Amino acid sequence: MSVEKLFWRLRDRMKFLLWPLIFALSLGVFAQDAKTELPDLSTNPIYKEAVSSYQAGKYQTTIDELKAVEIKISSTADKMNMGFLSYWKGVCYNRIQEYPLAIESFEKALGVDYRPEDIHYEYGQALFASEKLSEARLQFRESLKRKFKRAVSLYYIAYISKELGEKKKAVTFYRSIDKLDSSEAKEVQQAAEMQIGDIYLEQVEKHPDSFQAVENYVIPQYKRALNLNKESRLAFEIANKIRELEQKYDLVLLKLRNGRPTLVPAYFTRLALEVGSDSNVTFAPSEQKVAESKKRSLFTKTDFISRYTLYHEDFISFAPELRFNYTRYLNREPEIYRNDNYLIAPAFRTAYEHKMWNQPAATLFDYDYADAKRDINEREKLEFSFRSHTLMIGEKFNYFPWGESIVRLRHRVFDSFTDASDSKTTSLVFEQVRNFLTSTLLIYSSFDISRVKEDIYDTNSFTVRGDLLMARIRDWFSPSFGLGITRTNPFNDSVRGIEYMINPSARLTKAFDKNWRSSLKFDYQRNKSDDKENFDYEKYIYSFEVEYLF
Amino acid sequence: MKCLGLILMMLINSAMAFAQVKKVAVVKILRGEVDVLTLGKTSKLKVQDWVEDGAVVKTGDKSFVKLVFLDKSQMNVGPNSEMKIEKFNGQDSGVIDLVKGKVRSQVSKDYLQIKDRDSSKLFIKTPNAVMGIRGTDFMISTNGKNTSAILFEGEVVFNKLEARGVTDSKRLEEMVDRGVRMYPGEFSVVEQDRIQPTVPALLNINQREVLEKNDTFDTRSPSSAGSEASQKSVIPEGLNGQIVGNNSSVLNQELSQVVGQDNTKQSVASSSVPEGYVAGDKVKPANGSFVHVESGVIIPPGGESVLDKNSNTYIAGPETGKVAADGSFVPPKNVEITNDGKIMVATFGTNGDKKITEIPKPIPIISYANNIGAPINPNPFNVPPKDAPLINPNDPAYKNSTGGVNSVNDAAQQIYNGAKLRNIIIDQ
Repeated sequence: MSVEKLFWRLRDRMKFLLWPLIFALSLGVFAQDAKTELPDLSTNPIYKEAVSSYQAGKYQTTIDELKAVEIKISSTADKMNMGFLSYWKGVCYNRIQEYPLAIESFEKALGVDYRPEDIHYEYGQALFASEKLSEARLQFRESLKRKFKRAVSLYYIAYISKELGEKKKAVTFYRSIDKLDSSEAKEVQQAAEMQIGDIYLEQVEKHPDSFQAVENYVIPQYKRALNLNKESRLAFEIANKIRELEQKYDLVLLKLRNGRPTLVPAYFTRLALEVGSDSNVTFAPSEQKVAESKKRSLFTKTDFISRYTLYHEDFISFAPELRFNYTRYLNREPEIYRNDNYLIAPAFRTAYEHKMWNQPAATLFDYDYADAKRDINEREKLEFSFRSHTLMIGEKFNYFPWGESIVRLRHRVFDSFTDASDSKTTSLVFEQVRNFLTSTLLIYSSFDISRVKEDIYDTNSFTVRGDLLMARIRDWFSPSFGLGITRTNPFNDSVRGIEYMINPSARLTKAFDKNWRSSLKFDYQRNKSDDKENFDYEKYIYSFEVEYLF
Repeated sequence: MKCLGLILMMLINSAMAFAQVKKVAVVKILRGEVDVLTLGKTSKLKVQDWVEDGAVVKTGDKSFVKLVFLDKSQMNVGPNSEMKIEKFNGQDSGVIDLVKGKVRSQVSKDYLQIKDRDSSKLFIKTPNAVMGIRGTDFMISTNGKNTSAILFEGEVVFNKLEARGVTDSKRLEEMVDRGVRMYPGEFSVVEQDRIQPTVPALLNINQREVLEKNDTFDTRSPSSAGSEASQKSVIPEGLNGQIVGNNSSVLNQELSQVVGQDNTKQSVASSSVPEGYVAGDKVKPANGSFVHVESGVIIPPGGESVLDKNSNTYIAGPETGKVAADGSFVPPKNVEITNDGKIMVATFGTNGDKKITEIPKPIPIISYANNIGAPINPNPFNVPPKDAPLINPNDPAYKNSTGGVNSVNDAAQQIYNGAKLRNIIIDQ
């Protein structure tokens, strides 16, 4: 019999069982609440000491005092008073976890037909703790009939049924909790749904093709439990159960073949808004001349990036990506606002996961496209500025014990709005991560060969950059510092000479929660060139950024 | 001649010193070996001996002495203790210095009436704490680093001792006034590395009752006060002690008939937030926590504890430990708490090798999320190892991690440790 058939049969049988049970339960619900005629204690000052000890939570003392009372009144007391004494002692014994003595006391009380509303519940708990499960179940049924803590009583009945191996009965009782008022049911409903999931799992786990049933019935059942309250403590446990099953039955890919974990979640989306001040607004790098405005302007920048990583089996990943950013300068002078721009940059990244030096490694192949518009004609209108196609092949590997290394070979074809600026750039890039105890150092270096249509702008350049990302300081903010140096050789332009660009930066980030964070940023750029008019400049950028990570 | 003069002066000095010494307490009960140090002289104490102002009383292993002071206050000094009567003149507030060990005291009501009700009538100092006595029956214990105080009757004020050598009542009063006020059934602990005592919380009901009755520190019955047969928890898997607990309203309703509606107020201090909390430097242990009296370690009721609404106290399940017949805390199997506060856990490898490791003190709270499901700290001794990496609960990496009990425990432990770290910084 297939697991699926087995499952449906199990469900059909449960339906069959459900009706008599509902009937029995309704009998309980509609049954007259047999309230016990409790003894009038107002004439019994003899209990006063015991009452005050009980109210002080001194249960052992209360028991001792009740025993003394019992001896005093044993010859004259009626059944009700003796029943009440026994019940009271039973409750106290339960509180100090003397369950055998509690059982004895409750039996005495019930023996004289003394039945307050909660006696079966208390008695049931004492029996449950003493592992007298069948007897405990009977008491919880009585408690249910008397409408005392119905949801919890039903839960006990179901749980005991499961412990006794009566799993179908257990599921039926767990399901009955749903039929109670939500006010009563809510505190145990999630646990009950989880227990049903546990029973389903036990039923299907030993079957050879159990993965199908786990996927089709067990996990959906756990998800049903999870969805009742995703924030509860139990939700953690349920989510763990789901995750473990998915891992065990290969229903999700959690690790790649080289041991590298898959990304959880598979998506990364970030939206950032930045407001800042630029001391010397320069052109975007779509022209070969970096003309400077020598004017300060405030600016706003919106940046959005989203990526989703998909896996093919356990060794190839594909990640489509989309990036968009828009920059607007608030100083509305033509030489400033001509730098207003936006960029749309879709990309497609792939990685082939393998091992190198017995460590996880990946061969990377990326394609990036970028399309930018800018107010090139100073008409307060964004027009085509450039587009580019970039192909990259690289290798990510772990040669050093302290962090990952990446080598990339990149080729970019750049199409500018002025033909003279069209270019092709080939770069060799080396990146290294160095993990320290409380900080991480990122090192980036690249050698770029840029060939422009108008060859006077041809350059060879070499860049080295280091960024130190530090751990949170006093649980408040995380600083990071960077320094980049670029040496550019415009070998066809003797006026410019060898240029050096120095670019230190700093950032203080405060994370508010897992989604929100904000940063104060500082960036300084100094480009030293012999061509003072066109290429020599200096600028400071201060900004404040707010990010939301989805 | 010179020599004779010197001897004469010494005799006069000694006579003056003796004249100043005042007998303040008499030995009523004594067990084992008890020494008294008076004016540099050590002697064995016997029943009916007098102890003088300034004397130091030292008890040996399994020893005990009951002193009754002139004002009829009783001071029961427990085993392995050292106590100095710094000042006890009956006119001004007395000062007792408990160097180590434990003292149970029942202060005379006559003595309590010597001043206005809101000032302390007696101060008990330990190496790191000071207690101002405004009530009648309490126990105080110190291992030299941590001090725990348990109040059975009356009222006391309790604080960290700011300066060790202070004997001036006014300064001591100022110190205790800044501390915490305790009510019957509550305990508080001053730890060496925290700047303030824990917010008073209700002690485990069994431990309170047994300690209250055992005022002579009787250790002759080391077996558990509880039944050995009751080992299973009353809480079925998936639920917690708040949900399964019975609020005893049926019984309470009946009891109200005994004393009348107006007198049904709980006489026990109902310390708020029974689950406890850690807020900045303030640590409020869960109601129903145990106290390891010798070391001051607080053991919160575990996940299988049930909230007893009558006493507003969690009743710990069997996994947390139990109370011995002398009122001391007995940790679960394979766990040991040393008198200097270390928690040692024995684990066994597959080949039966025993490994003993020290674990950090449990966070003395019970934490539920939305009151649904099992609590975050299911077992007070199930805490991550000391060298576990610190996890920031707001870190996306943490949020995306397995999110299991350990991760949550790590986070909670970090918050607790964080409070402690801050205190160390402030202390310095």
